[in-house]
Order: sequence, then C-alpha cells, then structure tokens
Amino acid sequence: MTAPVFVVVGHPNKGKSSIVSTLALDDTVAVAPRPGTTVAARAFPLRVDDETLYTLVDTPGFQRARRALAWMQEQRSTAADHPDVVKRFVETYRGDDTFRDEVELLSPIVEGGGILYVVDGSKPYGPEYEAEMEILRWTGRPSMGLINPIGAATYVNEWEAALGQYFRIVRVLDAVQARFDQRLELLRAFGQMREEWRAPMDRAVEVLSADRDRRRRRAATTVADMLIEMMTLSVGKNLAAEDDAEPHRDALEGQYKERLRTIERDARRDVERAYDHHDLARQESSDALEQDLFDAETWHLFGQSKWRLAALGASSGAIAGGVVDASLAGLAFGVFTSLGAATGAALGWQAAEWSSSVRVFQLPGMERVGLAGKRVQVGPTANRNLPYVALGRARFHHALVEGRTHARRDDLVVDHEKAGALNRFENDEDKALEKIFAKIRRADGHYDRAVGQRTDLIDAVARLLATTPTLP
Amino acid sequence: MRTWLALALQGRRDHDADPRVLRQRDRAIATAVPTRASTSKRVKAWIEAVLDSEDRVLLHRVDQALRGLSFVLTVLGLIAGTGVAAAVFRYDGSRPIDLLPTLAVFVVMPLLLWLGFLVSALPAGALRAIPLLRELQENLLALASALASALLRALPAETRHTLTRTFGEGRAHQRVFGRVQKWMLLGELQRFAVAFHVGAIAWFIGRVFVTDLGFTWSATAEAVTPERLHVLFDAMATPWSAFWSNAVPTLEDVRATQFFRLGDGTVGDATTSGADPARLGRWWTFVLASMITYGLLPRVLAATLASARTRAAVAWTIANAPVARDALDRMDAPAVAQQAPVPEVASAPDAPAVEAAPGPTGGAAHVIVWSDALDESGAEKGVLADSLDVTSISAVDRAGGATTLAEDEALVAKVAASLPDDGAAVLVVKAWEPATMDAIDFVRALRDALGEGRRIVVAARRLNGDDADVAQWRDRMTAVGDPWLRTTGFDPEQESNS
Repeated sequence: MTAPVFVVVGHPNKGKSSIVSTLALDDTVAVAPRPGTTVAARAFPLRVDDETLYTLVDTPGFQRARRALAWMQEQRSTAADHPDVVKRFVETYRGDDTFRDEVELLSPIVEGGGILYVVDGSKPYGPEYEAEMEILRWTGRPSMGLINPIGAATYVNEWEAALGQYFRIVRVLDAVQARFDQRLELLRAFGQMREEWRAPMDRAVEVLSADRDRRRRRAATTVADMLIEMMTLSVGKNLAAEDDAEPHRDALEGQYKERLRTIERDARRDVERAYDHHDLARQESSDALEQDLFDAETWHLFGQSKWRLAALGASSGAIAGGVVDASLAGLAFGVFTSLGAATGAALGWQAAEWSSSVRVFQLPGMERVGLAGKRVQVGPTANRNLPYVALGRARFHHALVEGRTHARRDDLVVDHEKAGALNRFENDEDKALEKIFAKIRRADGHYDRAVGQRTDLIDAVARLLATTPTLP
Repeated sequence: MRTWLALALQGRRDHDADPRVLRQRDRAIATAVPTRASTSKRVKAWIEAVLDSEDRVLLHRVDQALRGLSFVLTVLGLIAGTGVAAAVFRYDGSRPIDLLPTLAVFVVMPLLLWLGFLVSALPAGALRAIPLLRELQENLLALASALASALLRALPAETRHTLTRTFGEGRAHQRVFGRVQKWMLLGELQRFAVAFHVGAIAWFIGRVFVTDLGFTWSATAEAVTPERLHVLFDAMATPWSAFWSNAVPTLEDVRATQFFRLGDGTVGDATTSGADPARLGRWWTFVLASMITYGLLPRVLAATLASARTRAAVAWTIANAPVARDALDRMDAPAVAQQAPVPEVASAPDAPAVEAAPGPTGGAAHVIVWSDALDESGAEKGVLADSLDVTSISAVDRAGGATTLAEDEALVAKVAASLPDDGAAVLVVKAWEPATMDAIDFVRALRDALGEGRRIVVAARRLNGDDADVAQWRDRMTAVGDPWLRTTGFDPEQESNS
C-alpha cells in the first residue's frame, strides 16, 4: 500500500507553510508575511528508516482560482467527470505560466493526494475562497478544512460554518503555538479522511511520540553531560616554587567562569539541535548567567535555598549514620543517625556559600624535569548549588525549546525571570539528584570517575524534563 | 587502542555535525551490524564505518608512532640496564664486587620504584583519606607525565605533532579518555623498566660466563654482623630456596666473604684460617636470583597489570564514551526524518517598481468593490469618498469574489465608457487578503480599457488598523508598472468613529 499524501493548499499567505513547518519539524521552510513565498510544491515525507509513513506537500496558493474554475466549467461534463476535468486542466496548463500555481498545487492532488485546505481564522471569510473550494470539490479527493488562526481566533466560528459546507472534517490548529499533543491529534484526524489511511497515520503518531521521547532523552543527555563537565571543571597554571599564587587568582577565576559559560552555551545549542532547531537565534543575557551562576545573592531563581541544602545534607547524613546504627542493632539509640544528620545539615548550610576553590598543589622536584614547582588551580567547585542553578536554567531553556514550533521565526527569548514554577523542584526530585551530585563531587574533578554517574544522571534529568510542562 | 583513538577523533567530528545526518548515517550502519553483537564489537564496527580516509592515515601514523615510542623505550631500557650493570659489576680482579651496593641497586631501588608504581596505579579515591599518599600519587603521575613529555620531545617533529594532535583532540573533546592515558603512560614506563632489568641481567650473566667474578660484603657499622645478614639473605632467598639451593647463601659463605680494609684488603677470616676463593664466586647465583625475583618479576607483573588495565580502560571508554553511547543510541533508534529531501525553490524577485506619476486631483470616482470588500449601501461608502481624493462617487459596482469573469469584463467596459478624463476608477480591496493574480489581471484589464493617463486607485481596506497589509498591496501594485496606478489604505470603522 502506498503511503498517504496530504497536499496542503489554500489561498496565498494563509499559513500553509507554517502548518507544514510545524508538522515536519523543519525550520528551513520559507515562512514570511509576504504572499507568494512558496512558488513550487515541496514534499516532506515522514520516513522511518527506509519506509515512508506519509508525505506532506507544501504548495503555492491559488492565484487565478475563478479563471481556472471557469475553464473547468466550460468543459461539458457531469459531476462524475469532474475529477477527470481537473486532471485535464492540469495536463493542459502544465508548463504554462497562466496557471503555474494552480497546476503546481493540483498536480499532487490529482495524483492521489488528500486535501488539507488551510485558511486563516484571524481574518474573515469571503467569497474569493469559494472558487478554490469548488475546484477542490471537483477533484473528488478526501479532504479536510484546517483553520490556522494567525493571531487572534476571531473568525474561527465563521470559518467553521463556511468550511463545513465543503469539507466533512474541519479542524483548528494554531501552527505557531500548537503543542505537540495537538499536532499528533491533527495527524490522527488526517487518518479519518480515508479508512486505509487510518493505520499508517496511527503508526505515524506512535513513531513521532517515540521520537519525541528520544529527543527528550538526547536533551537530557546533553544537560547531564553539561552538569558533569561543570562540576568537574578546573583551570590551573603551573608556577615556579617561589612564585606567589595570589596574583593569578583573578585571571584563573575569569578563565573558569568563561569556560562555564561556554559549556552552557554549547549545551544550549545541542538541546536546540535535538529538537531540530538548527538556526535558532537566542536572546539570553550573559549578565544573567553571571548572576545566576556566580552571585549567591541571586540564586533565588534556580538555586536551592540554604535551608533546602541543609535538609538535603541532613537526609544524606542521616542515611549514612543510620547504616552505622543499624549495624549496631540499635544499641547506639540512633546517636549516629542524629550525628550524621547534624553533620550533613551543617555541611549543606556551609556549602551554600560560593567559593571559587582556589587550590595550590606543591609539586616537589618538578623543576628538574622542566615543570614548575607548584600548581594553582580554580575548581572543581565545592559549591553545592552550582548544579541546581545550572540544571534549573537548562530545564527552563528546554521547556521553551520543546514547546517551540518550527513555524516560529522570532528569536528564542530565554528570560529566566519568567521561569515561574520551573524554578523549584517538586516531589523530592532534588533528593535523587543530590545523591548523584554527591557522587560526582566525590570524584573531585576526575571526569573519568564522575562520568560513571552519567547514566543515572541522564535518567534523573530525563524524568525531570518529562514532568516539566513545555512553554509556548 | 585503534578504536579508542578513532573515537577521540570521531567525537569531535560528530559534535559539530548535523544530528539528522548522523541519525541517517548511523542507522544505515546499524543494518550491517548484528544486533546481538557485543557493545564493543558494535562500536568497533561503527567506528570503522564512519572513519574517513584522513583519519585512517592519522591513526596509522599514531599507531606507528606509539610502536616507535615503545621500541625506543625498550632500547633505552636495555641500554640503561646494561650500562648500570656494567658500572656495578665492574671487575678487574684487583678488588671484589661489593655485594651490598649491588643489592641496593638491583633489589632495594627497584622495589622502592615498584612501590611508587603501586601508589600511582591505585585509584585516586582509594587514597583520599591519606593526604600524603594522595599528594605523592599526584606528584608521581605528574613526574611520569613530565617524563613522557620529555620523551615526546625527542621524537621526530611530524610524529610528535601527530601524537599530540590525536591525544589533544581526545582530551579536549572528552576527558573520559583520561584513564586510558594514565595506564598507557604507566605501561610504557613498565616496558622501560622490564627492558632495564633484562639488560642488566643479560649483562650480568654475560659477565658470569666470561669473568671470574668475586663478591664480598663489608660494613663499618658493628650492627651489621654476618649472622644478621644471613638472616636477611635467607629470607630474601625464600622464593627460590626450594628449587635452587645453590642460590641460597650459608652462614659460612657470609662469614667467609666479609671484606676487611687491612692493607690491600683481607677477606673473611683469612688472617686466621685462610679464605676459600671459590666462596667469593658462589654469590653470583644469589645475586642473579635476587635480580630476577626482586627486579625483573615485579616489573613484569606491573607491565602485565598495566597492559590489562589499559585494555580494560580502553574497553570501558569504548562502552562509556559519550560519542560511542550516542552512536549506539542512533544505531538502535529508528531514523525518523520529516524534512524535505529537496531545498526550497526561491521565489522570484518582484518586477522593478514604477513610481506613480502625480495625476490630476478631484473628479468623480467609479468605485469597484472587489470581493465584497465594502458594504456599498451603507455608511462605509461615505467614509470612502471622504478618504479619497475625489469630489464624488458616481457609481459603485462589484467585481471579483462571487462574480463571474464575464461580469468583470462587462464592468471594465462600462467603467471605461463612463469615466470622465479627470475621474478615477477606485478598486476597493480587502487589505488582509493578498493581491492574487486574479485582482492584478483585473487592474491590467482596467488599464487596457481606460488607456494611459486616467487614474486607477486601489483602496485597500484595513482590518484592525493594520498598515502592513496595505504596504503589501502597494508593493504588488507598484510592481505592475503602471504610473497612473496608486494604492492607498482606508479604514471605515476607524474613520467613521473619528
């Protein structure tokens, strides 16, 4: 059985390409307020390995619908002949500039495609559409009316009434704002046009759902890698034994912060690419990054509070102390549990303060083999809040990217002040994370040991991203 | 090792590549690799499939350079071992070889260095609680790294460049390769050490067969007595005492070979009973067994361990390196692609714009309402007259939309016949609907019928005060190339309110 083909047609500049761009996750589709941007039909097959499940075809808009319909009506025919008349029209005017756009959009339909007739629900209905819909009716192909409100949905009801007279199925989808589940729902509706299209479209929905999960997993992998790299990051410099380390502190701290920024920027790009946003212009203030990552005073956005860090430390300490108590069969009356909790809490409270962790290692005897006598190093950070801040920012960015359709052409504005409910962890998500972060911290900057936590961290981040609502 | 290095190189390439392309590529590779194959085999198959010719050449060079490095280290070890042995076992018959410094060089020092290897080899986490040992480990590894750097500097420039580039890319892209580098470094040092001991032992055996070596021992400290030394030597000989009794010194041997600095030198109890010169030569078996047991064997064990750990680290890296895991994910997941296989056709640029000539003002207007753009019977008509540069509206007709082409043609003829020279044909259109060729055809037909000079005004009715739509119409009409065609916007709702 051949895969269904859905031809997206309509009046010029009514969002056909936006619909295609959103459904095909392709931000290279030309979308512009200027009419006539699409000049040739272009196919977007959904391929799974070597199998095509369905194909969307973007087309130019009708330009001379009344004239084309007049030509068809001049052909003496009965209703049964109408599809043949349309075919004849296409054959007659193929290569002729007069009906170039009509031929371009009708060709895939007469070859067996289903019709998706797109209108703009933010603009009123008018009689100029009737010739177009009449031509489409003449094709005799399965069809659906699709209202795409480009802006306010002021005239959706009016359009529903009008389209209902020509199309058995009418749906509304805002191509720019549509959520992923709304897009899938529309694809299911495509399957309702014809019985034999139902199965491939249901399968397409399954495939796309699984693909979305994989993309989220890929994004989680990127975020997890970013966190491990940030937590194990250090920059250093070898010095002669008699050199003073202090003058190098500022320069090294600067390098350290710049490296953190680069790690985050690269991760942002990879998350966007995971969702096939390849040329996304992002507006994100680097000052905000500076504040979020390095200024403890502004950690109210994504960081954990001192109290929460103390609580997390206490629970970890209590677990460790509890093991000792259990091994003593309760003879210590929970003393170790209490001690562990108190120590963990104290450490958590203390670790909330930012520290750039400048360390100096003595390297005795190194001069003889051409190395300096000591090494001054910034990082890895001992600060417990860093991964939470970085993860919070990544989570917000991911929610924006995941919710963004490919029809949007504006910049991605990552305004962290608008993170809203995304700036806190719920259902003790942070407890699971803290266990992993603690192990990474214990690797003390040794990436090859910290990376052993990669799988667990990817799982935890993936769970977090999956339960985070997407943002329009 | 090749796979490991290839992963380091490929990691960088994949990092900058389009994920869609990677998905297609790796999914295609997956079809040629049995799904039941081990992770390692699948990664190896993958890396062999994706490597480009440039990287293959690079890897070949790195492989050659590493082999060359191992060879150089082996040769250097042999030279150093024989050199040291030649110095220690220097014997011209005038004075016997001092046993204790010999054992210090070939037993004590190797054992101390071997302990250094053990400290370096332990996981960093295992030494966390012991600060001094941890510092020692860091320094030993830094020292080993410095030695490796010094050795690299001795290599030819091209080989050095190839090695540093490949390792550098590995380090820069994924620090997960660090553990392999540690074991590689330690492994190469063990290779040097094994060669050193082999060289020393070979030299010693050679000397034993061609020279009548004599060994004595001496000590100034009174605490070092023959009895105590015998206990030590006996303990040292424990590993081979069961099968090589000739290599186990007796107390008499120890006593008889003590060297006293009297005159030109006196051995053992020669002053009282005379020394047996054969006892001086008997020590060679003990020395040889000690060199093998405490010098060579620990190093062979260390080299074996380093080699095994290198292989394990390589295997771990292959299984855990993000580049490999990502590749496996792509191989296992169906390649879902939705993008168009052909690029978008660029739209043709608009025809050059023609500036509208300033026409006569005033006069009557014949209004043509295109596709129900205006309620011609109501107040909107009055607003339109006010907003246009005309004295009156002489007629209002309908075209476009639901009218037929024949009706449009008749209307064009009617307008041409009735419009005075100073009048204007005003086509009222919906600004929010794009200017299709249907409307442009009508304007052209109108111009053909009116002839040059008479004004045509396209009045684009705004929706919600949107001027962008009017600008679109103006652009399209300007592109028609009619100097007596003007486009203006108007808004009945807004203007009637004001």
